[in-house]
Amino acid sequence: MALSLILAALAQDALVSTDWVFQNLQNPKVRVVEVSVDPGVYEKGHVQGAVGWKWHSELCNPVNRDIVSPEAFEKLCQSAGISNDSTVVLYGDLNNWFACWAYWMFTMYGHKDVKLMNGGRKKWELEKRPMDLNVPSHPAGKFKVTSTNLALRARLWDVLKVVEKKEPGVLVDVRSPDEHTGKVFAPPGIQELSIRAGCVPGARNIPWSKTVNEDGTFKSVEELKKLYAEAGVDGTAPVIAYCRIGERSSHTWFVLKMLLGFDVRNYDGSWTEYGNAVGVPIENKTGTIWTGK
Amino acid sequence: MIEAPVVDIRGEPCGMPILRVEDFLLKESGGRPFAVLGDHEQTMDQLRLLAARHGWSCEVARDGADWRAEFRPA
Amino acid sequence: MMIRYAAAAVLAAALVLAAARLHGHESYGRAASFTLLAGAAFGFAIQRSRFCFTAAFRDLYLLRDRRMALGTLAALASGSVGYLVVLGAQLPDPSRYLPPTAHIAPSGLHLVLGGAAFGTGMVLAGGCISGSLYRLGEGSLVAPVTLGAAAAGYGLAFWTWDWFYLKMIAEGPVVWLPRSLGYAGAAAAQLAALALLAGLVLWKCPGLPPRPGAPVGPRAALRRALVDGWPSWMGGLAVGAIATFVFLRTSPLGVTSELSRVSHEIGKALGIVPVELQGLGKLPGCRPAATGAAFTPNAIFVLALVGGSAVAALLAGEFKVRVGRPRTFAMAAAGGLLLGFGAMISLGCTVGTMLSGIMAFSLSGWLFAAGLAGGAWAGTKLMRKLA
Repeated sequence: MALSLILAALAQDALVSTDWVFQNLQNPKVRVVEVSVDPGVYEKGHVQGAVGWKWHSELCNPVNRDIVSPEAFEKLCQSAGISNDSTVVLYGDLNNWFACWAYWMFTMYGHKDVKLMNGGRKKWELEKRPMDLNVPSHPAGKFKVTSTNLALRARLWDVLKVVEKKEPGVLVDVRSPDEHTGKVFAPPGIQELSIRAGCVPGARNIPWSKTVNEDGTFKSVEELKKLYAEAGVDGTAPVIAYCRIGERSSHTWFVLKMLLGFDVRNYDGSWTEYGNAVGVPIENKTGTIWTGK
Repeated sequence: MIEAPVVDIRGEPCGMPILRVEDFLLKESGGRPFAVLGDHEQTMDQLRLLAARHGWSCEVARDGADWRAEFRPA
Repeated sequence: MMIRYAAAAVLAAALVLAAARLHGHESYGRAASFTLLAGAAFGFAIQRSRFCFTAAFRDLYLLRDRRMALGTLAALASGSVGYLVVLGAQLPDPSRYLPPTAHIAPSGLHLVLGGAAFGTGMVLAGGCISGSLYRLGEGSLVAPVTLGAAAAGYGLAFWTWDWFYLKMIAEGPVVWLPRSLGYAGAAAAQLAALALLAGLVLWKCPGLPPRPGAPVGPRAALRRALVDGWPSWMGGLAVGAIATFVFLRTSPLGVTSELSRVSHEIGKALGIVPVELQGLGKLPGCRPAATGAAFTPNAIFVLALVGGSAVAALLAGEFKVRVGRPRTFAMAAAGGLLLGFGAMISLGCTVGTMLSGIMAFSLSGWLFAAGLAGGAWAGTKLMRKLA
């Protein structure tokens, strides 16, 4: 009982409703950031005062495959008018996938006051709330990266340690069942492919889409606990979440860490790294073979 | 070219000059041709409208930096 | 002639350079740069078309000259369409929300009273605020008297502000047509009303007799654009377009915020006006508002307006220092006082309240316009007596 209350409070801390954002548009401490990945979405209209970040070039290192460096992240935040005492509100298209990635980054780089707008762009649009067409120009912020908590990030070797049972842990594959069983390499039309199909051996398949309602908001804490418990993920073992490029796993990382309070790391390399790595064990339930076609 | 009499409406904003010219036309011209010296092109256009209303003719031409309207009874 | 072309070029270059400076400046930025260019374009357009809301009403009453009335209706119609396009993108659901920046003000008697005062004042002074500003760019020495008297008129209005606010504004209903009629319904109703007014004007007022021997060809067209005056419908379309762009990029068109702010500052310094003006911070319109920087956005817009008008006047050979008769100055002062008073209690003038209100489908704009029509009629009658 006490735990649920604590968890509910945790959830309240990390999530804000679209209505809260709407009421706080003029709040000088609030800085809204949209992380949308479909082209032109931010430009066609966004929450008033929201800055738009490009995931591909600003939240990832565009040369080496890596998350953006602390120095670059600092610069990005400062030009968005973010300081260490700002209340950052994140939202985006595609069910907040990339907004969750940004949330994960803010958490790793030490910002203490970050919120995710529950329902993201989808809910804002469903509620037909006002859109702004202008890009804001905030005075420069003073955000500094004071600490880096890379314990929230899983690398390939961390995943292998769990697979080889050298460390305790449970893997959560948040992709669709067809991707998980190896039936498809990736959803149709996707360019980020892997040479092998299947999943990390022992990974539980809990697609990200099971954690949200029709309008994009998260299901209740009780429903989420039940969903994961049924798949054997109950918080007793540390979790590593992965998907294809790390954006949907960021979404699940948010659910498990911020809403359920589990010990969870985000494996941002995800299947595009694991499924292309030479010599790693793979579980391919459907036996699909890569033929290069 | 009509040398006299001349109604000088230069420097005045729109509105008043029309009334002054109308007054002159109706009360002081005695049905004889007269000229109006102005410096706003749009006001000069309005003089043509004014003339037409009262059955007079009005030709507008440049006069140096200003404009000159010549009113003649029809 | 070469001198005035050179002067026009220098002034135009100065405006562009100023816009470039603002663009990169820490305290100003892109929005300020855009505001400057928009102000210059607006000043250029209204000088070229002699766009004057005063003329729209007064010339109808005096002479049945319909040109500026039609130009104003063209501006309102084109601006309404432009606003509709922008509002549709900004606000998918007009039934629940209001556009955050548009001049959709509470409706009330204060708008009719303010419009009446403003309408009388503008006819007496020979121009409204935007009209006086562009005439200042042309070299009028009467215009500064009008504007100065308007500042004094604001001072008078500050004394009455709290009364108007409590009696009429604070409880006034905000009537926004799309809220009850949807965008399509509001557009149809408003455009129909404007068309009806245009039809009435066309029917009741004969056109200007044709000017003999007008030349044709590209050279003549260029000459017409830069030297001769624009037809009022062209000015109207330009005004509607500029109003839309300015609304999209910054905030609705208005020319009186800075005037009211300066008037309030001077009044406060002299200790002759109330310091606090109730409820002002929350009302949409041309409020007196200070920013940290030396020039407010409205100051930039208004100064650029004068500059753009000067460029247009110089190119067309219409720049001339114009002095009026003593009576002209007296009427400008009296009219100016009424202009300032009317603009304060209506939180805007023919541009900020009528234009920006009607284009945004707000009833407040129409109420102010109704006041203007009545006040201008009274002013015209008064002018006849004084002539």
